[in-house]
Amino acid sequence: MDVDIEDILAELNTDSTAVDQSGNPFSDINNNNNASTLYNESSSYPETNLKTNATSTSIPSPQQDYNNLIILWRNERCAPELLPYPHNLMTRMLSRIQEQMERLEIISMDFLGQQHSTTTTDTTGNNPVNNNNMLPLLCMEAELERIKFVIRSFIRCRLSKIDKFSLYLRQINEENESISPLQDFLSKDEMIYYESHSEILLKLFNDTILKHLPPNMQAINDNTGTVPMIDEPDWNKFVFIKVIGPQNKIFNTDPILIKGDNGKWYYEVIIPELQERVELIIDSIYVMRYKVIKDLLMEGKVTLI
Amino acid sequence: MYGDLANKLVIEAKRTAQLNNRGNKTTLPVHNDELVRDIIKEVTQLKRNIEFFKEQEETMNENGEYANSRIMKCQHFVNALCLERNKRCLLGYQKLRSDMLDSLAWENNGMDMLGTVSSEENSNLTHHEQEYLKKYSELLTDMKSGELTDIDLSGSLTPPREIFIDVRVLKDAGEIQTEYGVFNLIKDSQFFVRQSDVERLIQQGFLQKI
Amino acid sequence: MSLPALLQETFSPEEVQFIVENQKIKIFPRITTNKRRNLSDSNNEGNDDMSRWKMLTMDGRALETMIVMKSTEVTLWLALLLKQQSKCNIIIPEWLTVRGLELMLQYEKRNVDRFSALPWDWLVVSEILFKQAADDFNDPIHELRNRIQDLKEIRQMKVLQGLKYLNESHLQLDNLGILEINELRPFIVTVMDKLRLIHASGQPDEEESDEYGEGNADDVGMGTMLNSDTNMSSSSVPPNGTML
Repeated sequence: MDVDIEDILAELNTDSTAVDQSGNPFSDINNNNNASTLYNESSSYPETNLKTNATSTSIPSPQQDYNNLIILWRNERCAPELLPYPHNLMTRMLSRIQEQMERLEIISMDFLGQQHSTTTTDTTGNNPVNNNNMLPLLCMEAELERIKFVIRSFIRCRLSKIDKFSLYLRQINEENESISPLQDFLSKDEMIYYESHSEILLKLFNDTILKHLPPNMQAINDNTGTVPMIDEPDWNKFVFIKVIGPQNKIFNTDPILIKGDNGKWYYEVIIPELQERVELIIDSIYVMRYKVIKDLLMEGKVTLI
Repeated sequence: MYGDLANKLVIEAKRTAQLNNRGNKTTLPVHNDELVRDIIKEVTQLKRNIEFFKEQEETMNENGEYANSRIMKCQHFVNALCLERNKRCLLGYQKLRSDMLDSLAWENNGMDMLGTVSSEENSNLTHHEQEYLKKYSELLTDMKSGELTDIDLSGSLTPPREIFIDVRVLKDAGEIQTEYGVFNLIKDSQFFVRQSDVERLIQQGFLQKI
Repeated sequence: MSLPALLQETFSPEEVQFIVENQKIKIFPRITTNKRRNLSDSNNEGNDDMSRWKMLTMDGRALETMIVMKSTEVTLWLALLLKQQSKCNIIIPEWLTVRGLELMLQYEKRNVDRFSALPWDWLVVSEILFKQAADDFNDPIHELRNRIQDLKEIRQMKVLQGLKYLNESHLQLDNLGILEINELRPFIVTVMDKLRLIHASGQPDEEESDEYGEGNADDVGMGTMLNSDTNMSSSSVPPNGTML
């Protein structure tokens, strides 16, 4: 089927927005996604479970979950520390993936049956995908691969941080158990990974080095020397952020959002080390110390980009 | 000088790290047993020194030789620093290697490495490292089969681009069964297939991406 | 390591493209999937599920109600897949025309200290569409390419000019695209982190003592903040920190 160029031109003229006024072209985050499921769900440990019950009346749509997953993945990749595991979102994602895989299997089996009953394979002609009926399957398969990729990359990133900070995680877990138990911070699988990997790694260090050292030097988590052995996240590492604002986009409902003289809304943050105040204007992009924006990140009011 | 050996070990580790950052495949050089053993020997010597200085310090203190005692104390301190540094270098070296072993395990899908890795690579590992690699690979296999079975954790970290591709058959390869039907791979024929279904055949040279 | 070192630093170009591909774009379908309009299609053997789109990252309805030549909006990756199958034409966004890019170029030239409001994914989208939807453009592609290249260069110049403002406090970088950010990230972060450490080492008393592992970093930070509160309110807007 040929496309008439005139139609495209007509479409362009009616349908497009003028370049300079095209709203907010930088908005890479879907504005209307209900991100109440972002970190709110998991940020204020240990209230996670309470919150879940409260929000269970409105389960986020698959699209919202996917958009949030992309945000969480980007945040995790950019943050210097390990962020909380989004238990509920991941549970929903994984069960949807499983359903979808089953659905695809049924559909493709049907096709297989059809194909066998009608024709045998020839070398070039039998290209099942040219069949329009096949198109949804093709798209769904492609989509599934994309979702799997994000989750894979997300988890692999988390595992690398779990490894990097394993001693630190143990330390905070022992010190203030009540604040954020590791079980809430990690998924069940991640917990197993963390424990097993620490164990075999410690055994390797013991066998090759530590047991050959004087008894008082054998600890792996010795912080009494001149250089501490426990690696902490670099809390002040610079990160790129985009200021999003409150999830519901109703600015005057956010108690910490301030309206400037020029009508722009901003959050005020303080860099303690420099004794400096900075205005973080909605929709703007900043390079900022992680610790300064961490609270805003947890509330989903900024994202890392 | 105390600490020189450890410095050598760290420089070696740094070189290894740089080489591996550039390449895409992890390659682990041979474990420098000898150097590690020498450093541990130095550690034992340092420990003996420290005990000696401590004793001296105490006797001098008892005899009222405070100036000399302070010298002993200083020597004690320097030796303790060397000891600590040696420990850090040894652990740093081993940590780099264990990180690389982790990468190896991921690159190989958590399969039992010791069977598949070339024997040369294998002999670069110490006995303890081999054991570690085996255990870590087992852990990966467990991780892959848990809640995340569908995800294939050790799969590609490059985003899926072309999930379906056109391929041309270079060598007769018989029939293959995919979700999209049976393909009879006769030389010079063309197919539109899912890339993951034929990845192996492409690697083996039966098919060519068009 | 479970995540290769290169990916720990920044996103790969492929990952940037992946992120961009989640955006929406308008298309003209070349097929009709809408059932009511599709009654004549005899291939449809009544098996409903076969032609149903159950999508997880977008609303499947947009796909189920496609009508030939009636514009609709889908995610970019899907548009590209349909395009590859010759099932749609992509409607080139207005900014990606000679006229649109000219406007941006003029803005870039007029404002030496600002970036024009190109979409955040401009470099990636233009590259993708040039490659995979070349026949959907009205303007000659080489002319568009030239202007994209000009924009890229003029903006790069501004970035280079701005690098002298790198500091230990913060930066504001409005209208910079995702690819531009991703490419600058390793350099900017490294430099600013170093400047931060240099600054902190000049003030050994309180700041950044967490670098040396003394006590609880948070406590120190908080203490500093509270003590210096009066100090801060007297200092007005920081002199440094805003780039471009």
